[in-house]
Amino acid sequence: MGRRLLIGSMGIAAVIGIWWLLSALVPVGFIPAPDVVFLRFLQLLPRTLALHAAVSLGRVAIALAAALAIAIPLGMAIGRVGYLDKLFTPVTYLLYPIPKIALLPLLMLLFGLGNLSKVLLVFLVLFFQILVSVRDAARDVPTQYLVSLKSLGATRWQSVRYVLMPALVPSLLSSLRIGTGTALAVLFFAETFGTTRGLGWFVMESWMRISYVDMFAGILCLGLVGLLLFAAIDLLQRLLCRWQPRSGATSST
Amino acid sequence: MLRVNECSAEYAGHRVLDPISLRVGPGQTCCIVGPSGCGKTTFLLCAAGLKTALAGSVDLDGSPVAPGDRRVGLILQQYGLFPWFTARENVALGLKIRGVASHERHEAAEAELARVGLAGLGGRYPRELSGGEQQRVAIARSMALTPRLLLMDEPFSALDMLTREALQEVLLSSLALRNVAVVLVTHSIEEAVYLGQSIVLFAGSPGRVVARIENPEQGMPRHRTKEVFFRRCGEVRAAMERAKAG
Repeated sequence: MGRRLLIGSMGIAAVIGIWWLLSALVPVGFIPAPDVVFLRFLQLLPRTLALHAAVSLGRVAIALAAALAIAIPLGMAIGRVGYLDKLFTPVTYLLYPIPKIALLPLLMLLFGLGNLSKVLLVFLVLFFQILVSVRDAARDVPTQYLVSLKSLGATRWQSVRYVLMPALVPSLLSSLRIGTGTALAVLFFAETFGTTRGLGWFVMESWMRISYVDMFAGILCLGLVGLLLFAAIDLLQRLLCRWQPRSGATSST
Repeated sequence: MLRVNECSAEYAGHRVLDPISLRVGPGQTCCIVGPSGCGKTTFLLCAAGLKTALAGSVDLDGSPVAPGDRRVGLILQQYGLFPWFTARENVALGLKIRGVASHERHEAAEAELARVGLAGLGGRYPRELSGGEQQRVAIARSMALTPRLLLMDEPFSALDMLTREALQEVLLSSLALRNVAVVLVTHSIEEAVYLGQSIVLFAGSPGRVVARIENPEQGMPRHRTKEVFFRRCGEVRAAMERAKAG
């Protein structure tokens, strides 16, 4: 753990070093020095950035909750029920590759400029990511597991609870990792329209004011929000997937 | 008493099992031996009530076996244990499904694990156990449910010879005094002769019974080293070769 932390700190230190170098090389303050940005970040955090970060996180949280609530049961059903697979898979393959950001104008026309269109956009990004990975994970559950559980007298719901749900958790968390990165990028773009709250708005507004220090403080905050979300997913993985071998470990069999 | 009457089955429209009848009394073990693809596993799933027979019936102690029948235990070759549950949780799962209280099922699970020689290993996940230990957990899980009928599908086939023989002893000691009817599918003639009071040979496609061999000496002390053991193995082998020759 200590070694992991040390190596991680070295990576971050390297990024800060490169940032410092660029700030010295690039003229007219386009890239302010890290210490200036950190200081500004700390000044803005309590009253400004925390508020914008909370708004952005709130939008992601609502979209994530809705995506999980719909995509998990639907993905499991498509993965395990043949006719639902035939019905939904072609539609999924048609809609999944469409860049969701392209739907923002339509969402704004349909649902207004407020929070709903932004949350829906993030929802769409996460929904398809989760749906496809849950479907694949549910499909790949060895039938022997289900036969084994059925022989113990399990009901269909107990099969979902004791086999399907635990079996798909690793894939679900992987899809969340990928989806969260994309969702934050999409949210950033969505927050540049029709709002005065959210980190996307703060960064773009700082840029308009030609306040590069504020802009970088906003970008730093966005990065930390991402870090927080990824750390939460890693924590969930450690808690829910203790049964899986850690990467690099081998089975004792 | 397990009574399988003229049970036949098909899979995806293809007949995989011709009508088969079988009787296995309480405390008796019947071993089914045969080549791959002759319907042994299908027969076992029909006997477990997990596959609907095309025709015929499966009764246990006079009443039909239903899907998920609580009187029936099933042990599979692999994937029988759930990797996300510890050994203790795996053993206790059947009891949990049956609504047994938490402390009771954990006590029962620990007791069963101790019986199969895994005392103190209840907190380990399957990946932390060897193949032999995993099958001990599978045996403990089935025994925790005190089944009237135990069905086993090549339970020891993935194990090395010494582990396999150790597991056969674990099985015999687990079955002792329990009065369970056992049907065990195996590819190993030696295993069938060591464990089964009766040996049924399956062959063909669709599968059918080609020979039934009684093995009354099963269970005698040091059976594996006796001349009768080797003679019986020879009989089974000869019957299999006759079946293969047509």
